Amino acid sequence: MVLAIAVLVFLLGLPLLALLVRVPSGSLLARLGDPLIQDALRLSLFTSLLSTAIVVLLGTPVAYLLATRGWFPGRNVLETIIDLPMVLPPTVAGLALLLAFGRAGLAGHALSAFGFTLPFTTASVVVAQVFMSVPFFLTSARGGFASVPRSLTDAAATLRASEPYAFFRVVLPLSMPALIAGASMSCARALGEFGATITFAGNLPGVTQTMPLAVYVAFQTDLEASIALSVILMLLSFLLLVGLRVTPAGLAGGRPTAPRFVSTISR
Amino acid sequence: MLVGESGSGKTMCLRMLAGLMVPDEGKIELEGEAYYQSSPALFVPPDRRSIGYMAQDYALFPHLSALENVAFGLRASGVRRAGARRRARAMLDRLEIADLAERRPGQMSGGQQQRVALARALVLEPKLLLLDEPLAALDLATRRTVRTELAKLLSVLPCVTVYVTHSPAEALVFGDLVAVMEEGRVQQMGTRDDLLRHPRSQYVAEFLGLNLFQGRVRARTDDGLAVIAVEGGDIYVAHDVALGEAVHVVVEPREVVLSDEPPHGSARNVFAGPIEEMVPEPPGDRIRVAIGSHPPMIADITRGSAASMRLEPGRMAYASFKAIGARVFR
Repeated sequence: MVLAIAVLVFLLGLPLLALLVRVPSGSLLARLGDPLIQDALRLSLFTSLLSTAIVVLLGTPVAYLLATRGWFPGRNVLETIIDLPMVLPPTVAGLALLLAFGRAGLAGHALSAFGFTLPFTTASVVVAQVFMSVPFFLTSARGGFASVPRSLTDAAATLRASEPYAFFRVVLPLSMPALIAGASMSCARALGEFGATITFAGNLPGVTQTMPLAVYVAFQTDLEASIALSVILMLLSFLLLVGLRVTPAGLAGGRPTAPRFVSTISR
Repeated sequence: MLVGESGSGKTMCLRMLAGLMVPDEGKIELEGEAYYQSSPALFVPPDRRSIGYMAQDYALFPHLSALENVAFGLRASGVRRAGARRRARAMLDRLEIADLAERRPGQMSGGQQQRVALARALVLEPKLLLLDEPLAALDLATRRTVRTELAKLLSVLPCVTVYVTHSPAEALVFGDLVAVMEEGRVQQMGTRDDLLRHPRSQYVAEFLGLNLFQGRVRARTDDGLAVIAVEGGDIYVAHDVALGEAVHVVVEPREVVLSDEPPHGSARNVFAGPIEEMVPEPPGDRIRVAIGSHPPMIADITRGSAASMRLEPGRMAYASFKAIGARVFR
């Protein structure tokens, strides 16, 4: 067991250490002044936050549906579709998006009619990020909603609460830690999105060149620059992780009080 | 009062009354208002019924304080925040738990949680109060005190109360009308006396197989026994109860000894009367004998004993039991 821990820590920890050690000190702040880097940073923050907002907005009702309803026609299909991006290789996803929403794609014609071209725009970055990060939020949200004991929603109903009222006043507050964790993971995924972005959105600085893409490009020519970018990205991810671990603990006090007996009687 | 063993269907029944479960067919009606009907199809969801429901595990909202828990139903009905809190506080006062107002359920004892759950249901002034084994989650010590208080409270409430329990003793203490359930069916429904005297099925008789009396401690004897005055006579018990205290006495039929002439033993309780009924009991060699004494008694004896004493309905018999054979509770 100790060996396993050691190997894992080594494998995961050494690269992170290497990155930090190789940071060109002092030049980090200077790098931040580079307009190319500023563009990438701004774009990354904007798109990943927007993507997360969209994922939360769209994902919450779906997660609630899956967590609280039994079987319905099409349920299996729905569950498969929303889990798919988690296992799909990102570049494959990017290609698929292109084939669907590209100018010559399935929906592309319809979009063109409205004057929209999706690929190679900032909007397409958001689409790619949403596509890839949805399952991360959904899984967590779904688990959170399902963990609210049925007895509580039953009680709410007997207390004159309509389903929406019970959702906002009981289910949501109690599953908040799971929702926040899911949103954080989704955000982190969106922030780090590369494969689908570069395939579907392209690599246009200021428009679709997010931080991960910028790191890749810099890596080809200027190692120092790419290291600096990587460290910044890493710090951003780290902040997200901290947020993820801190908030559930902070929001605790919502632990359902189970009586000290196992209810095997008369169910 | 819905009484029956685990799995007899009493909780399901309660949930159907609450609207948390839909029956296959039939009708549920409260004071002329139909809550459910199979034809023509009608179903009123729980949030539109005038009910107060208390689950076995109380189901208090862990993220809300006691006050907020109690105010929840009012707020959900559209009452404004200030008014709801005021009424909630008044209810907490009434149940003497005002000091718990700001506490979370996780910081309360079982008995306190139960009172908050009760307050939460009652503050809505429901026409139908549904209690699912309210005492089951409490430890034995708390249970005794809570039972008395609960009985007092329920007796002054204007609503119809359906109380589910698996304890026959509880049912007999609380219930105006008792329904005994077995395997999803109501075996018999009636007043306490109805059920005790005229069980209409083997199940009910066995299930309620108790001698239960209510009375007051009339005196104490020199040798440490208490004399309980119950309807029809006195019962001697070996219990430390105070003079004047109102108590319930339970005597198990198998503690009761029958004889066809006045007994000579050490038993302090002897009651004579004509045999009213003799009902054979499963597994088959026991007979439950009901004596029309004052107070009436039920005894369990073997078929052999009954035969050797030539007991039969109408004959005079003497039922006796020791003072320590009687259980007392408040």
